[in-house]
Amino acid sequence: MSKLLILAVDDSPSMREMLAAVLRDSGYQVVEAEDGVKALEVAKTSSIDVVLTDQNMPNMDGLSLVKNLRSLPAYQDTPIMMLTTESSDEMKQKGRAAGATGWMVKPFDPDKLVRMLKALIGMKRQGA
Amino acid sequence: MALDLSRFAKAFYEEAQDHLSAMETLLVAIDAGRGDDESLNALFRAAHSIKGGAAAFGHTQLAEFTHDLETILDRVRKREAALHKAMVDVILEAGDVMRAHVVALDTNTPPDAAAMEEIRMRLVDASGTEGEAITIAAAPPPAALEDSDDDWLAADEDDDDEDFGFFTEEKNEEVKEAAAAPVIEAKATPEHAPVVDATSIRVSVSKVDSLVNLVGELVITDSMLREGARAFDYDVQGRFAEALAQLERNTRNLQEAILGIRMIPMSFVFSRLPRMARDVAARLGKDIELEIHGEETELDKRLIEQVTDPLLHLVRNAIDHGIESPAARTAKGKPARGHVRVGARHQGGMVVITVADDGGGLDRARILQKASELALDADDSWSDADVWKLVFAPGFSTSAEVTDVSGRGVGMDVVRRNVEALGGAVEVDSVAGEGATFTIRLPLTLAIVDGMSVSVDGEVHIVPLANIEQSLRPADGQVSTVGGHPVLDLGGAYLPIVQLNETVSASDAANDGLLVVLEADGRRAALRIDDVLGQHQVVLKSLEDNYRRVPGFSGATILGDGRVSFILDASHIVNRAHRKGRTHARHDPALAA
Repeated sequence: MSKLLILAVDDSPSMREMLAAVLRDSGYQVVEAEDGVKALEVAKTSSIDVVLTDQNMPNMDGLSLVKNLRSLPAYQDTPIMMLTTESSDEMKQKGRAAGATGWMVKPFDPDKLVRMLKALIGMKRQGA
Repeated sequence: MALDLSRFAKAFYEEAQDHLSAMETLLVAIDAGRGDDESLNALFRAAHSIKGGAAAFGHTQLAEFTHDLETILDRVRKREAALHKAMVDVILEAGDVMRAHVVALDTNTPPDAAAMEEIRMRLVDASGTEGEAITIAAAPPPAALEDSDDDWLAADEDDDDEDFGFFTEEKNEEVKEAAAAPVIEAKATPEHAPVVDATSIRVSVSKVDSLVNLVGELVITDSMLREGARAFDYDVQGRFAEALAQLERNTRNLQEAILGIRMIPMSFVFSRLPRMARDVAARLGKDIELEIHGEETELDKRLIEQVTDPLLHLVRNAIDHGIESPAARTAKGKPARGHVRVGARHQGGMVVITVADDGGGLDRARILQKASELALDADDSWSDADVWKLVFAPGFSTSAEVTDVSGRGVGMDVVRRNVEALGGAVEVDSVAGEGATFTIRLPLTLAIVDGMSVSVDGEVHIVPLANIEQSLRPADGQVSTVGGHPVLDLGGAYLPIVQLNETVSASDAANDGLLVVLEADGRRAALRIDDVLGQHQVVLKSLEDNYRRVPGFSGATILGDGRVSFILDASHIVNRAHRKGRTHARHDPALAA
């Protein structure tokens, strides 16, 4: 079984690198992007299995990225998680409206991230 | 899971400082009335990113502090709160405290928790007070951060207590409909936002320096090869000669490319000016407008670092001593707001940095008076240009009162010394009532010197081309003796003649060999040499690093034949020659080779 390819989107290099390192350590393949625009480009040229995106980014924020991804045929069902420091109901509603699969509060500890991913992938298999 | 977070912490510290610099630039721009919604958003994003990183790396106090700041900035960007001057002041200070905190974390020293708490209280206080609100333009609309147009669906999280959750499938159906139309909301990167360029990498300066050193060695090896090849017969060895020429070209290109890595834009130091100018002007009750040009001009990193203090000093000085108070300016019929213009540009292999103000200009009478108090050699008959040079004399300060802004008059001579230590020069031009312009000239890099190799008493020395005005074989009667010192008559100007080896008598010095007219610090002197050997680009090796500082020489280099050659410090030689000419100094060990 080939490794799942995860797209990690965050404008902060340190956060992005840390996220990528946790994911790689857990046996996933990772591609990184620094904002929504770059993420969209990457998504169009590679087959991404899971997207993890920050909300506050220059050029294109996380919500807009989710909306744009959902408009692409290849990303109708791809799990997209919003990683956000804001876990308000309002933020969750916006995430849901944009088409995100779920949300996760930043900062997170590495174990929780991996638990979340396993739950996500389990859910996807069930649905498929 | 065992994951070492510390290796990302370093990246976070650097990043946080970049964000703090960006915040400062944005705040100063907003304060000056050049802000818009996008600057407010960028300001918020910077604080937000710092908070996120601080929390992720477990720096609770920094995260909480930034959270409070972020909350205020969020209200401002949503136009729920106005931004007034007092708040800008506190936020700027908050940035300073955050920077100090980050630096402390980075260097493993305990951060000043009390200072941070104090500013936090003031931050909260300031956001509650009223003041004159700063006008911030509403355009362009902050599309990327605007609320989505879709109808909000009821929240239905799987689990309220968890740190993550998924939206249910059935809701996603609705969502997909709502999101059917593609929304492209990409925008050009705002001018002042921190640009994270994915195509660049961070490399430690020591790695680049070791490349610079290695390529320097390669240049020397290349010269040695070519020197050695002279022994060959070029007709027979044509292809070898061709290969050698190619090696030389490639070596030069490689050297240029590597030195290019060290080049960074002047914006590195210019970005600090608006904040400093704002603070200084506020403290002195002056109204100034700072105009900056040529931020993109590139210069060697070490030069930029070392010219930073002199440059900051010149700008402080322009505001403190140059620009008059608003009342005085109005009385003179000038606009109340003073103008300080800082610029950088490339000019003939040098970088020229100027600091110009439209203040009162230098005061000739007061400079001369001060010069006589300090027992400096000065005379009312001197030209303006010569009088202005006095401000660079040690201990010179014309400010009537010593202010805490510009220090205690130790400024200008330190500026001059620092600039000259970099192989540069500083000069000033002034028009009474219209302002003064200080000009700093610097070489592009410290690593390479364009020089002429000359032989003196069997030794080969390098004279920097930048300091050579001409070389000549003196005609009969062109050399004479004034006050026991040999001088050269150059079109009516009498220049002192210097020899490196003081044991050679003056008449020998004058009659034998060639003279090279050196120019440094606006003065000239003629150096006696035996012969001109050639012109080279030499790789400068620091004497301090490899041996010790030797007055009269700015460094050393290795010649093609493997011999070590000293690079003459023209400024030192010219100044010694003039001092000696005046004071009839005895044997000067610094100039004795």
